[in-house]
Amino acid sequence: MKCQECRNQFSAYFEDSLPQTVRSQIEAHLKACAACHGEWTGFQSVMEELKGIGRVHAPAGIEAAVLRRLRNLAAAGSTENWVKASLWKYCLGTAACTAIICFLFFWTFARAETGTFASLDASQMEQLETSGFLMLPGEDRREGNYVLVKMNGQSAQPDSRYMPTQAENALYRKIGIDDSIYFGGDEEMEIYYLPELREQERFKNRTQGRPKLIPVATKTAF
Amino acid sequence: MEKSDKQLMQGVREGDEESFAILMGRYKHRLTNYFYTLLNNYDRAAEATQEAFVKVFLKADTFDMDKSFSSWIYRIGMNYIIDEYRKKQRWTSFLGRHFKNNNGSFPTSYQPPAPDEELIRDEKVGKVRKAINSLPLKYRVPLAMKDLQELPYNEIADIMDMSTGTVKSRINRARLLLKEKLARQM
Repeated sequence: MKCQECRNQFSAYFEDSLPQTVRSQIEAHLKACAACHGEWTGFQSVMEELKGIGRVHAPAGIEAAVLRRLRNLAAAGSTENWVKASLWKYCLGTAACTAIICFLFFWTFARAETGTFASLDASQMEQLETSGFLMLPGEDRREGNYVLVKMNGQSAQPDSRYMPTQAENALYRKIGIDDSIYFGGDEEMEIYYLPELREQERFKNRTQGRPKLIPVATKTAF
Repeated sequence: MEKSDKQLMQGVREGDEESFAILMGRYKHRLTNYFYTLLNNYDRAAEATQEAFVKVFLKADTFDMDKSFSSWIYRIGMNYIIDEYRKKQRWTSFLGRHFKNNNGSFPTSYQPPAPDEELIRDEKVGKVRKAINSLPLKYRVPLAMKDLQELPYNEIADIMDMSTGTVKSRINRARLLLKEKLARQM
């Protein structure tokens, strides 16, 4: 008999529920193996400890406390039924309020996107556009959005010799920059997201104004 | 003549408070002991016993009259413990995420409450109870049922919805683990 096999049988051996042949095998093993004999002695002590652990009594009046709780629950239950019966009214009210709040939120948000532009003037926009760093609809993977990238405070210059790492490419994809435009790795990059513009014509009309740009990230040296 | 558990449960189903009170009287000490072994805190054990009785009353209609009431009430108790354990895990995990110090320990004010030491009169018994409480739930529950509630293996298997062989193996493993934990404490 192996040690593990013997130890797996300790409970059954202790409870005297093993066939005589197995008992004899265990006894033989315990005589021959000091480690298992030690384990068995410890096991017996644990069983003694468990026997002597003592018992506690339930608190006095527990029955009365439970019955009191049940009566309270029954009283609350009738209120609950009333609430359930009128629940649809509350649901309807909540849904209406949510719809109004959502409408107001999106209306405000849409207005913010199409509202007064700031940040860059027309000449800056033109400069960026001609330098190829203002990505026009169709170039951006998110159709109709624009991403601007500046490096060290200046409009970014492409560096076709630079091969971006996988991590950089992943970032570009995440923010929607066309994979085909790469940048050097040591510059501070400012990435902007220009929301909302769905049509190029519409966009062109707005170059007279100041575009609203939302900063997405500033990252130094990838 | 004394009514059987099932006869009393029939009364409970009909809303008879007296039958329910007799049933509670029969099981209150056993359940309190069971929960005390598993929770190592007398107040929580008393609360758990109340919860279990409330569930018995509210779910009386779902009790299968062909099965043992004892197994059913212990199963209710076991499910309560599992729910409590999950809640505690969620809370511990929440605390861990938000309040752990740099060294990975909880700040003093968020230290989990210590077991109620006042109720542990005998230091040795306290150590055994603490060691039982530190066992994983899958070993602690069958060990409590077998060695403290003295339920037979087949009833434990029925409560835990597993084979008798698995129960025996878990209890043996639980006793060996307990031995190791106590040896480390001594």
